[in-house]
Amino acid sequence: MSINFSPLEIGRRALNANQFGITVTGQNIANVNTPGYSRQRAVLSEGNPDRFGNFSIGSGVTVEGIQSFRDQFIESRIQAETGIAGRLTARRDSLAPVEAILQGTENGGLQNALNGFFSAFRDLDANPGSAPLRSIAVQKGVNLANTFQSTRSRLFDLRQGIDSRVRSTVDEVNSLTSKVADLNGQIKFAEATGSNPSGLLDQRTEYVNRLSELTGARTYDNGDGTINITIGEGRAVVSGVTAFTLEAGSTPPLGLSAITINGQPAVFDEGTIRGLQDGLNETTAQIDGLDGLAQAIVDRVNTLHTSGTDQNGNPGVNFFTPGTPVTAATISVDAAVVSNPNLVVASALPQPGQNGTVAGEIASLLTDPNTTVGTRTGSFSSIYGSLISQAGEQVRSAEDGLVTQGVILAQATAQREAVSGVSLDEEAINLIQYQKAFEAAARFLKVADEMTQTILSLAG
Amino acid sequence: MNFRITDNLTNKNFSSRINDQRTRISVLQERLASGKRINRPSDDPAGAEAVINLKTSIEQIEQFQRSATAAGQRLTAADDTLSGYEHILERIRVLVSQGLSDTTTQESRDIIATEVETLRGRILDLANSKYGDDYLFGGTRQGSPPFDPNTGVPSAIPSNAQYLQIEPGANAIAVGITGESFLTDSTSDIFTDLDSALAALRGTGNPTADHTTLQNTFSRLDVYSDLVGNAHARVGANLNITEFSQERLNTDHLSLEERSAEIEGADFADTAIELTQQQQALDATLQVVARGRRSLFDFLG
Repeated sequence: MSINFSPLEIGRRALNANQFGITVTGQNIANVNTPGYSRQRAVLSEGNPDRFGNFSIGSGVTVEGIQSFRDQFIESRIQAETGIAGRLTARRDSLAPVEAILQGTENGGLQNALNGFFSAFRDLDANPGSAPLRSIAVQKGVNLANTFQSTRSRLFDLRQGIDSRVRSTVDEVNSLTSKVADLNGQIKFAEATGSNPSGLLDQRTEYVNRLSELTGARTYDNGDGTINITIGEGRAVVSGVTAFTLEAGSTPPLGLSAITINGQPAVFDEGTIRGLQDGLNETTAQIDGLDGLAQAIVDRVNTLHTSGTDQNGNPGVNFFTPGTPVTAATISVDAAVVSNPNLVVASALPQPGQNGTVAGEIASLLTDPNTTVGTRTGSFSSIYGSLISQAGEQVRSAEDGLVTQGVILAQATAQREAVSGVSLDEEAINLIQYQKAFEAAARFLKVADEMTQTILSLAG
Repeated sequence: MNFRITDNLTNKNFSSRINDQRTRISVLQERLASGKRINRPSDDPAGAEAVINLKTSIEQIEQFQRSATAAGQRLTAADDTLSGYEHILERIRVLVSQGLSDTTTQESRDIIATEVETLRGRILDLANSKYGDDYLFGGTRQGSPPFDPNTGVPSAIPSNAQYLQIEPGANAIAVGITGESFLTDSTSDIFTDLDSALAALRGTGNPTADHTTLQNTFSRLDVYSDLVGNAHARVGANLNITEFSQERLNTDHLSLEERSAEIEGADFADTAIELTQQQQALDATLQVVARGRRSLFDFLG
């Protein structure tokens, strides 16, 4: 009978394997709160059998490696949904101020300025000879012009703010794509050399998720450990170990950003950048609408105002400074009228102080439904109302979309967690399991050692 | 295999639920604080647009209410003045008929003449009376008085009644009458006729001619009486229209306010109850979170 040392070897391997299992468990527990971490499992297998007399018996346990729980289908779904959420969030955040700006305060908004201005002419209609009411009409006109200007300048500032967010987002995207390209290289190397790239993969997944949120990017697995990332209609921002830089140029006349990759225009269908671009377009549309409204008010008020006679019996002059085009930024009450309210026209007759027909007609313009601004036809008041409701509608639809998207994303994240997340209960069970196995293996070693000692003492 | 519930998932669910509940509570608190269901256009874009249009209509109605009040006051002033003028006209008719009587002595006629002259002055004052800065009977000609304050000669500048719109979409109504329309006709004016009567009363040396003049005056007074009767009726009719308009404007104003409040206003009781419910739900969630999730680790020695 020969001395068989294989029990010692089995015991050694068992201690080793269970220690490894405890280490992996520790790694999982340590990363329970690490974003993007995929839980790992020690992969153990039975050792190759040895001949033992007429029988073959296993040579204990071998550590095969580490398995990460990751589902590529769920990951890419999360990327796609994150892109949509990114677009909606950026859209809501960039447009929410628009409605607030257009709405103004309870007493300081454009609506009050409009009503106040046209009301002043209604008062003048009832008292066409009144000098104080003329001064009030001028003041209300100045207030209307100022409100237009301040509303527009806020929208303008807002647009500049959104534009600079587009540029800083482009910077972040560039930094992320170069990190992903870098990780692509490292993962490829790790896989080629057989080392465990799990940590690198988790990190890359986190970067890709952020990229998806920002740009709506999609990934394609190249099979060699690297991934390609494309945006919009398939333009690559990462190809293997190469990252392509996005550039945010400036387009005249407004100097807003135009994004290119290698000189070609970059199209974004989802993601923060697309949401911000939508915000830019909508804000521009609102500014145009406001400009059109200002132009229409100036044109129609001036037409009526020059048709009558002023308090001195002279033909009416322009109430607002005319111009082509007048915008919400340039609208102003004519300097001559400001300095001499007697120039305010109330009457249609060529004599001073007669009737208030023209003042009445000007007052009625507020609700006259025949004004056309862009695609909107209605009264000044209803056109303004429609601008506001459009802004509100856009914020509303982005918010509604976000609620739905939140549910979808939560569901996808729950699926990801179910596959990749760490459960402390499970890890506690694993810990007990490995610890008990470790104790048993140690006990087994002791027995094997005693057996060997016994045999050796026979020889002695 | 069962769907694995991990610690992270539970925590994420809790934090997103707490966040949702706090958002909801803050919306309800804003509604209670402002009393409005629509605090920004995105709360209800269609409702917000409707409220803007309703507010414009309300402002417009308030404007017309002011115009109607102004029209009413102006017409009332004209109405009162015309009543005064009618009394004067009546008194002159009595005086002229006394003057016509054969039993009246020249001495008495002189006294009558003095009174008629005073009354003529009163009529001239009434004709040129002011309402605010305007000549009440000046119509569209406000640069000069309707009648020369010294001679009573009618102004040569043509004038028309002033019109004012007092209801949305309605035709403008005359908010006064011109002095010419009831103090003159195509042949003469009351001041010229009274001047002739005064001369006749004081005696021109031709009693027969004076008698004829006074008889003419008597028939002219009938003409002026008819004229002022018509004028008074027109003013009265427009005053009626103004009163009806005011009633309609008040009703419209109320119903527009109601509609606006219906769209924009928050139901206080409902909102308060919902707020309580949401707060209870949040409390419950917080309690569950605070109790903590038991883990197997808690039982390991």
